[in-house]
Amino acid sequence: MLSIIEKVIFLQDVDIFKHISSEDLSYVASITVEQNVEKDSVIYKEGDISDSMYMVIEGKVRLHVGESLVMIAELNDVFGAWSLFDDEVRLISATAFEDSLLLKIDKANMIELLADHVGVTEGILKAMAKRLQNIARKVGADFDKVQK
Amino acid sequence: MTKIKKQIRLFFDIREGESKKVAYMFFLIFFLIASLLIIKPVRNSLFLSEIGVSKLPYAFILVALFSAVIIALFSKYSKKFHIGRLTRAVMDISILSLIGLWILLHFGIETKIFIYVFYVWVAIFGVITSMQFWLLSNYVFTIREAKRLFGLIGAGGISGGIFGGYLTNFLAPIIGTENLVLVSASFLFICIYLGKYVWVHYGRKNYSERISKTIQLESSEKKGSSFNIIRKSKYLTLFAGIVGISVLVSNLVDYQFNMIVSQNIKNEDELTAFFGFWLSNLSIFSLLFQLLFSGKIIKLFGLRTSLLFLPFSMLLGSIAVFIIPVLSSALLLKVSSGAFKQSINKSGRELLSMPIAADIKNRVKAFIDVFIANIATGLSGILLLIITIGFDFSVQQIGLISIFLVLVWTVLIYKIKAEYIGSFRTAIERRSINLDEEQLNLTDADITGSLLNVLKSDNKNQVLYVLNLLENFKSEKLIPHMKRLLNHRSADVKTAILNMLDGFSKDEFYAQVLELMNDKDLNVKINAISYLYNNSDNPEKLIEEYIHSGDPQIKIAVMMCIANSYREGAELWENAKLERLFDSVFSEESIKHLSPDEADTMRIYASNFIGISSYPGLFPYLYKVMESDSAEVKKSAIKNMGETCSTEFLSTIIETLNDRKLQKYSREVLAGYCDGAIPLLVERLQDKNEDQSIKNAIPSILGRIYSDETTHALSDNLLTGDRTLRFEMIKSLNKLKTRFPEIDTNTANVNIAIIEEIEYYYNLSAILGVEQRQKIESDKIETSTTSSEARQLLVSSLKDKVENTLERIFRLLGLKYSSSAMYDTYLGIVSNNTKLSEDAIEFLDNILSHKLKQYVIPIVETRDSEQLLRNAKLFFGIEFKDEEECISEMLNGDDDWLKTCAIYLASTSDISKYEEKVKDYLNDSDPVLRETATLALNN
Repeated sequence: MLSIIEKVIFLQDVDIFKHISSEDLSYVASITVEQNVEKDSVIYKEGDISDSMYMVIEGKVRLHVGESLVMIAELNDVFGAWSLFDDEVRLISATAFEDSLLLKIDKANMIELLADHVGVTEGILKAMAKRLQNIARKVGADFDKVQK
Repeated sequence: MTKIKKQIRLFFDIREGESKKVAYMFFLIFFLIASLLIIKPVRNSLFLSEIGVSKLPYAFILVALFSAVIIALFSKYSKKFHIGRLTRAVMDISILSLIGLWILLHFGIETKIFIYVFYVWVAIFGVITSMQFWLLSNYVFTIREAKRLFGLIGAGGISGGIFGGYLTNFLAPIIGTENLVLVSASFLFICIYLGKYVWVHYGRKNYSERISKTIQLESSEKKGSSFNIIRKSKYLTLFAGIVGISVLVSNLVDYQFNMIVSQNIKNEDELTAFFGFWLSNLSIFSLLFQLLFSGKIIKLFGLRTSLLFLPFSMLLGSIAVFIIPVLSSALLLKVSSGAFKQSINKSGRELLSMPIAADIKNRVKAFIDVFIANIATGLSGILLLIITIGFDFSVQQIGLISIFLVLVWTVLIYKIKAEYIGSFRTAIERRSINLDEEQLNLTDADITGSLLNVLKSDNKNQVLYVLNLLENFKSEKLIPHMKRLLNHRSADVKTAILNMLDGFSKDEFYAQVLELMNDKDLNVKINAISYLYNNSDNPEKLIEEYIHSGDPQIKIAVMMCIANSYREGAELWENAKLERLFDSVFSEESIKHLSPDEADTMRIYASNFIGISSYPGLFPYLYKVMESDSAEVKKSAIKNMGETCSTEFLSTIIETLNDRKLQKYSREVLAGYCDGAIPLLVERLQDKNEDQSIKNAIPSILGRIYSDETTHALSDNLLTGDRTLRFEMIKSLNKLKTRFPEIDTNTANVNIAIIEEIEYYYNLSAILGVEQRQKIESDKIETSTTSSEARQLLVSSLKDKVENTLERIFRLLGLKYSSSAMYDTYLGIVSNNTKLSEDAIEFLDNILSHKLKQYVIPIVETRDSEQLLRNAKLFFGIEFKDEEECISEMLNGDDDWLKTCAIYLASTSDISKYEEKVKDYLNDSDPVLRETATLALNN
């Protein structure tokens, strides 16, 4: 079982938490729960209530819609993160591709944490803003290609 | 005396601590205007007696030309000096000019050119001193204070005008015109003292903050010039046209007046006394008309009529002068036009500017008032030259030109009226009227007509916005709209209307409100029963009827109504009856048949009932519901404990500050507690045995309460407690300083804290330097990932801490200087933009005291870690350490997170060196430190 400080070291490399100070990450670490999943076990499926996000510590997780593969989540990857920000049901399913160790964060705990620690909120907003900028850049580049 | 002072404060709505600055500003404008009203008659009489009225057009042209140039130069260069220095400089120059003038007059060496210069000088002096005064006022008063107090301050100017004019009339025959100049100069001497005091005590503090805002405003101004904005808007063009033509006609009227006066009075001193006397009379007439008639006229006849008063008075005066060109006709023309200009016409112009969006108004109003008015003055000079020299017009014929221009003016007023209604409608649709900044004048029938029309809209938000604007509008015209809106589909709209029914006849609404008791929305029911209760002939019977209703919502609504009437002291509700009713609706027995969620809802309303009624006999219920499992029920109990204002709940609420789910609500309640929360909060803050998380929560509560007590508690305790608590206190003081720049903090403590933080900054930087070097060395030889990760974590944590310390230093500087300016400087320093960073350092170099500069500038300037270490040794004797010493220092420090990281790093190599110290943390209150210490020793 990982200690809080070991979780902090892990979280530092997770994209969505990269802009949060290490001390603030200790608060995030304190609300994470380790979850072992065996190969082929379903973590969540389409239409489930979105109530938590996950990070991969070991192993791989298949993210798919029906049988179509969306992506494989590996070490340090986050999945189910949008559950933090909307109340929609899951749009994709997550199934363990191999035996895996995950860190899980419950939405309710995370929302409380965000309300209490402005440093965490600020860091996550920065990460989301960066993601959106990248998407916008990519869309812009694709649009240019199509026009050409 | 104190009683009289109190009455005066109450009458003028002067709040605690404002009396002195209001008095200083009142007398500053009083003496400024008095001084101006002395030299104006002197100027006029000198000009008429020495140069003659025929040359007045040249003076108008010169005033227009020089005013435009000098005011533009003044505006440009005034930004380079602070307003305190600038006010002093203008006063000094003005006094010297007046003394120079007196010497010239006294020794009879004045020339004609000099009199022209004097004429222009007085015009520019009037504009610049007035500009300066209101600029200074903006530094002295906050926006909210300004809204409340500018009327009173403005009255200081009017009184000064009346005083100055009468004094001139009284003194001119006794001491002569030339010596009046010295009286005017002596008033300016008083202004120097008053201005200096106001600047030092009230203005200087806000200077940096407002300067940065000015810069922001300027950059936005570049988006489009004022001229272009006016040109593109028909409404603004007409507005500018009206202002321009009014100045033009006023100057023609002035010329006629001066012409007739100079024909009748030849003696210089008599002329001075005459002008002084009539300028004062004009001010009094203007003041009385404004107080007694302006509001009523606008209310009865609307905007158009109010705008027509000035041109029509000029028309009648010009006709009178045309028919009988004697002094009394000229006086009628001058006094009526002058008085209406300052009273009803000014109010009309304020109404005209109302539909202009706030940001545009800020930009174009000054342009119209200064530049358009100047152009009109110049044009009036040219026109007068053409008609008097070119066509040799007599005083009557000039009146004919005025009459023609008044007709054009009238056409413009008619045209703007149509545009005005359209613009106002657009402003409502866009909701661009800022309710915080504007006090909506509902005296004009057209405005209210437009507002009532919006009430027909389907847009709920627009309807609510207008209902907000009409909050205090009690007119029959509103009744049909209110009746219709009581059936609106939105509960918010119905609630808003129910809250506006007071003051209207019961017969109009009672039956309709009765039906609303069947509404689906609880809020609507609560407001409906409240109305029915207040308007019923037999309220007791009404309550009896509804209290036994099967609908729980109706029961709640009735109970809320009872709670309100109990709080207001209704005799109907004796305590025993209140308790009986409470039990019948809210007791556990009465709600046992409800589902758990419904029961919790009833408990929440039971708490609300106690909060509203504040009946002490029911207080035990609030303690009881604090044991509930539901956070919502507890939150409601805390909120209503606050509503009761009883100090008996304070300890219970403070205890919840360490409950993550409740602390947010507890903070809000404690910050808004009526009275008495502060002493207990301060006591708990200073208590060494207090739970640390409760202590850490207290500064943010104190930071929301503006009082000397909270400011002192925070700044006096700045040096106590650990760095987390200190940071909380600094943040709270910053918040207070931003909202109330006038707060006094314990400067000595702030200075010590700044130096302590700088020392801590150097200490951390020294440790960071060591760990960074160690990391480079280790990465070359080490294979252990854990050790490398642990060191990387420590390095990144130290970097965060160095950055946090820099932020704390700037927050502390924000307590000595302007908070927002220091925050902007901090952002500049930490930005990657070299130019911004250099500008920020330059700003610090200019603003910091010599001693602080010595310490602060090196830490923001130095990027090189070796130089930082040298500075650390130079300023604080911090010696170079090895890693072992660094880890020991962190373990002995007061930062739990650095201790945790240090222990973790030590555990990856040889923990035995630190074993004794680490053992101390096995039972630490910080869970992460405790866990890391346990793991380190077990490994």
